Amino acid sequence: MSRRRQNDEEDEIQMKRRRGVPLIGDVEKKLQEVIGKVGDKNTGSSIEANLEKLTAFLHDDLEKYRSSIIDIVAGCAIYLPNRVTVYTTLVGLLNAKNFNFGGDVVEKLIAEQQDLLLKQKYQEAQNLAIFLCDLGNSGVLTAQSIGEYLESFIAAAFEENMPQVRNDYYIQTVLRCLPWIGKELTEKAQEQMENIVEAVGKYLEMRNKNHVPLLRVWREGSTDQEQEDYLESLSAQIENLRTANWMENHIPRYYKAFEAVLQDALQHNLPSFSSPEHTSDMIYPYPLVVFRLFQDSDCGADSQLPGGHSIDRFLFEGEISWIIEKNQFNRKSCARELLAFADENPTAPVGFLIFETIFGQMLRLPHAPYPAIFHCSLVLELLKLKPDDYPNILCKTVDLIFSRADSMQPICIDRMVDWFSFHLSNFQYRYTWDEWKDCISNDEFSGRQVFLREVIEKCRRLGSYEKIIAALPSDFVKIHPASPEIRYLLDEEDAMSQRAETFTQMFQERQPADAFLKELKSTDENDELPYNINEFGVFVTVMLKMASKTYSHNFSALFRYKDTLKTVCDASEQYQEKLLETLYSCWKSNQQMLMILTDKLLKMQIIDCSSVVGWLFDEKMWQEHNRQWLFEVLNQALEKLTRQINVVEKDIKDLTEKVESKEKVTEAGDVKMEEEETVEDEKLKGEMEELENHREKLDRMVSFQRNLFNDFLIAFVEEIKSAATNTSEMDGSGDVGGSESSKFLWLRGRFCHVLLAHAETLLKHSSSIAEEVFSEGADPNITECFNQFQSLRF
Amino acid sequence: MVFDPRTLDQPKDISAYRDQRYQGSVRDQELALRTSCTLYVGNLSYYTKEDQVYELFGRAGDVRRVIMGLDRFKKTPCGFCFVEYYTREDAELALQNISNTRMDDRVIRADWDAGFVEGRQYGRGKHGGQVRDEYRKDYDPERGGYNRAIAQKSMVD
Repeated sequence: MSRRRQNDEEDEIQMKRRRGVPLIGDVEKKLQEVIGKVGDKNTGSSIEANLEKLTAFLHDDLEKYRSSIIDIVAGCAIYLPNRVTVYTTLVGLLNAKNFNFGGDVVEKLIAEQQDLLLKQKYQEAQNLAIFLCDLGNSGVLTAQSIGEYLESFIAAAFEENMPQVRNDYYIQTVLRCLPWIGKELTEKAQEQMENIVEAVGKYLEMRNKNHVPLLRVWREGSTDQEQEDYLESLSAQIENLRTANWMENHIPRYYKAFEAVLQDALQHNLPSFSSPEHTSDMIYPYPLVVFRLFQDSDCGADSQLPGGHSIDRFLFEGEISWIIEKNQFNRKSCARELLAFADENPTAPVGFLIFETIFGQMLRLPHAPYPAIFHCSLVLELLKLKPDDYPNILCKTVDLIFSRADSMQPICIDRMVDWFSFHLSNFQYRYTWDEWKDCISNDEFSGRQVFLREVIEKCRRLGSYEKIIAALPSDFVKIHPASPEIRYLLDEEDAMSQRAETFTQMFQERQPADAFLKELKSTDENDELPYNINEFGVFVTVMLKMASKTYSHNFSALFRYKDTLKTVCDASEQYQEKLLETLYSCWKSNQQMLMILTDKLLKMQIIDCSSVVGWLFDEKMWQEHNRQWLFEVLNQALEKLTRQINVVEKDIKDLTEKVESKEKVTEAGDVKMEEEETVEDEKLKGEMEELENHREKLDRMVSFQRNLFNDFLIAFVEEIKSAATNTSEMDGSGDVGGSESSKFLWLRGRFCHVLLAHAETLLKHSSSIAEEVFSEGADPNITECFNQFQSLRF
Repeated sequence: MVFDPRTLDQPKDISAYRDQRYQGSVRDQELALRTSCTLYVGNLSYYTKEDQVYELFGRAGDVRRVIMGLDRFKKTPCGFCFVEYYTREDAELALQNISNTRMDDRVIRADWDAGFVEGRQYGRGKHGGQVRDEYRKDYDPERGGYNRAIAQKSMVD
């Protein structure tokens, strides 16, 4: 082995040590591989045969590698929920041979579940609940104790003065477990089963459902799909299943093949579940609304789509979600496993269900469960693997969504725009555009036209102006994007052109930042402002013009003249306004430039978040409120502020821990040298001061944020109010007036968009908002939206 | 700690490519690659512009800057760039989901980069562009047609 190679290997080991990756032995690695892969289906032999082999193999080493095996099995139970019956069967077989081992696994799983709940990993904790219940089918746990375990979840949901979202989670967990263990419970733990059913019914009756309309992708009554509350719908399906004596044809029950062995095994009792204490900073999963896109008639005659109300549809959706969850970091294996799942179920149109699930996730409110770009690349991957069938299903999906776009929430339209433009950029922007041309004559606030217009704009950015124009039919000229050139409005006639020339020359001479400051100083003694504001506008115009070639040019101009810009903008908010207005007038036909430069100015702290919000919601900008970019800039700016606050919060948490641990040491009263003590004391004092400063800073930031949101929401509510009262044909809002006009509905939707996008922050400030923004005079429609929003954390 | 079986499918390891001109030890380079927020992006068309890169890679997170690769002599784009994010997570997201998709109808390829240093924006081939353009055999109109050797040979013919 060469010297260099050897060093490299040592380096790698060093590297792993530093990164905290444990160095594991070959046996452990082998165990991980064989246990982790036992559910794979393309091995040439059946799962049952593989399980039998694995059991024999593990049994020999059970004592020696006990804790490793338990850790691996627990990991599979948490992270491979789509293989739940594989692993419950495995645990059952091992338990039959070694009673103590089964007990240890159960104990481990219970400890892990508590830990996951404390870490707020709700999905994973729910996976474990299903797993534990299914152990009742493989002879590890008694039905009686499982019934009691589920009853303790119900009891947790009925604790008093708890947020509804928390209680929902416990009820949902019970309902999700029942398809696996319902039959067993009905037969062997009848009393518990009846208690559960009754309690769930009672719970749903008293539950608040205000939030449902806000979380619907489409406005109520606008589609034939019902968009029901998820929990209620699930409960109805489970009730149907119970009436049908738990007959489903979905769950692969591998333990059935081993009944003879398993039924003689000794069983354990599952202890009751105790819910972790609720604290005010816990964030529970948001409530869900059922998303259904397809009906049986959409899917062709070959296979039968389970009805929107059947438990099979739920179980399919659940399995597909599990596969996605497991493969969220690897689009290729995700697509492969989804296709394998489709092949295993040839009687159902699984392709349709896959796309329905993916788009349901993409459009989920308030937040999609995965980053949008993952869904984008996953769709591409699926088409690549199944080029004959899936493009057609995707086309149907797009058609259905487009046809309902007029009643779609703006936040969802934005997400569709982002996905579809990315998608088209992988297919040379070719699409059956012609079929959509009738919406061009619709009014400009109609969802379909907004969708089309914004898709074209985003395609322009991903490709080029020429390419997208060439791909569009000629009658689309009415909604062509503007050519993204800079607009330079200073001509020779302009009184300011003299000054523009001076600035141009100074830029060419590469004069330093403070030379410009001197030049901008106001000469008028009556001027209250230190710098001439109009000349500042000219300065910015010239700078933008000279840097217009690329982003790199723009950034280096901003960095070179940062001092000029910052000194002037710090002098008064009016300069910040001027800067943003000038930016807009130069780049109004290039929205991407507006977004990126505003973002840069914020990051460089030349302007602050409130001036951006003020600019976007000034009456002068209302004409842009049917465009996506404006809300992107808005949400980005607000999001940035939230992130800064989160950073300070985390600093405070870390510092507090540090100080507390030191105080403890001091209290413990070690005898120290006097000198040493004073040094330590000084240090502690310094840290406490720093902590105090941080706390003050946080208070300032939070109150700034609260005021900003209040001011902004007030401005927005005013705008919407005026849209409800004076609609004229002039502003493109169509013939219908008032709160039925597409303009009003659109703006209301944008209002909901802002609420949902900043849900975590706004729910914290909701009492202040209720008081400041909604105490008087808001449009009742908007007040209603806000009330729905508040019940998200009911 | 329980074992996460999802790691069996996704070796989170970095690719085998190493920049031969990296200034520093093997260990430094390894560490830089494992902590960097910068991606190298290759197989671009010479005609792809910076703003397209911002738009596409901006889909994975906040982009700090884009550095377009240039022909050493002509100072024109020569088919690669560096994309620098603010966080490792965003860069990872881009690597997982944007690499091997299309930009300007070409399958682009992204990989970790140890971090941009002045000078690296220039092509390292003899002709000023990327070395790979001197070795490929196909005709690629978006990357200047044939490689030089082929072009010269066909002129002699």
